[in-house]
Amino acid sequence: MRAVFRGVLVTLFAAVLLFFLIPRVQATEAAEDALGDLVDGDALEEAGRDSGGSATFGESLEDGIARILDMGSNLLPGLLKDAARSGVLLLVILLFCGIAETVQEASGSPMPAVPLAGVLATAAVSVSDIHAMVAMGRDVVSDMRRFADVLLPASAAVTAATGAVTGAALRQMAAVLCSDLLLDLMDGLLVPLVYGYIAAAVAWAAAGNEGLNRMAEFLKWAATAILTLIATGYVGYLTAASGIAGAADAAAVKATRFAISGAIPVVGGILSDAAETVLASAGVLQGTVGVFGMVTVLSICVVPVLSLFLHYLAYRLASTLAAAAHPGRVADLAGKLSNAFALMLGITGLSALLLLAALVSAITAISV
Amino acid sequence: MMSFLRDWLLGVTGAALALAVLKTLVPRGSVSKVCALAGGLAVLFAALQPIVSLDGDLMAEAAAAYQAQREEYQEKLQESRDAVLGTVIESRAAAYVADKAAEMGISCQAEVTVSDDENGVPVPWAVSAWADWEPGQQEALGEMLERDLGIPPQRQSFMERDE
Repeated sequence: MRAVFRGVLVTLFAAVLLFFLIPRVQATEAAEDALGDLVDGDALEEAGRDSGGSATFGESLEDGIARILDMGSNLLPGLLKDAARSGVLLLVILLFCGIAETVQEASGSPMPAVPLAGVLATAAVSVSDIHAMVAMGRDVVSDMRRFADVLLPASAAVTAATGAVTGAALRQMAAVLCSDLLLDLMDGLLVPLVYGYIAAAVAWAAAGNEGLNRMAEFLKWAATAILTLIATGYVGYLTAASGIAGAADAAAVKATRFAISGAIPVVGGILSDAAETVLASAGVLQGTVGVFGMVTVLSICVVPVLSLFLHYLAYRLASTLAAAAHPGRVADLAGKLSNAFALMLGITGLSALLLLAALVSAITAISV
Repeated sequence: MMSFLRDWLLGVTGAALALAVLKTLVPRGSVSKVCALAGGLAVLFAALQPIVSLDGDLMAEAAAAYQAQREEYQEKLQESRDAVLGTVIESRAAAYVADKAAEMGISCQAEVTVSDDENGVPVPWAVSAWADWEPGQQEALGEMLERDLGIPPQRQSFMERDE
């Protein structure tokens, strides 16, 4: 889980840093027209809107990030209210259970119905939150996949125009493969694992069987391991294969330059001038596509990520405060339910990471 | 691959869950220990069985299919890149021809088409020029085109401006 969060933060930081370092070069009209046929800004904007994002093709990264922060801060009070309501309700239930258990222990007459009632009440309060968060996570993953179908081919075509053909094909195929893998795993394995984890946690809290607790931990570990494996494998493959593809592309460009140098001087001058123009124009366009892609991905994620994170915090806080008053299985159950939100947050973050890593990798390849 | 992973994890999970329920139901004593041992062996079998039956050829076929798909897509990207480069070369070459013609006192509009040479490099291949031609201008421009751009006379077209 920490590895997934760390990966998302590192990728975001790298993306912001790169865009401040890439120089802006003026492009000629012919190259712009030719490249404009590869990338349709209006179609990209429409695809972004259909996927729940909001970005304007051509806006700067600073403006895009500012707009997302603005959107987030406008929505934050409402999301905070929802999460706080659930957290407070949960805390009240946990505190009542704690008081009842304390009285029971003081009186010396065991009442096994008290923790059971607490577990049932906690489950009843959290069931709608869990369903909503799981549905939100699934929607984000499928929205990302749908947007990737339009963004990645455009990004690959522009990257290929800079001469990095092998790298462009490799990045696109890897991103599409991992996105499909995540989508298939989401419905077929990850969401069942999350629900299985919740069921095992509730059963443990109700029955007190240590085996069920270990079962829940195993399911949580399995989901986390799958996410970490996908993230690590994808970033590692992208890094290693991009390096190899970059060398192949550089060799191909050198071979072309050598062939150009053997041409008639005037023709050689036209060819090398045209190649430099295309490289410069494609570099500018790649930056534009990359910024648009990143801003759209972040805008798709902002509400679900905020909502999941706030619910995770609310449940974790309720569990911690209740455990401080009276430690027990019911308080621990709230903590385990917060882990379910963290798992969905990891899945959502991973779907964004796949696209962001592909975009950053494409931009760093523009030096062939 | 998805279904393999799903079936494997669910199998292990189901076996472990059944073992947990069994341990709860069985009374403490030697029976419980025997059940724990049997259940542990069942979980181990559930964990190892799909791995043992994993088809190595399937993995090799999947890798080969991915590689073939990537190469096909790479060819398409190369074609789109060549198309962009070709368009810019045509534009540059046409501008060069018009500039050179202007130096010769010819006001003409030129259109150049490119084609790959023997090294796969797109080079100017043919030219069409439209102008109000005066005597000798077509020959002078033709010599320049052959000297500077390597376009032989058979690939040069000179037309009147209103054609």
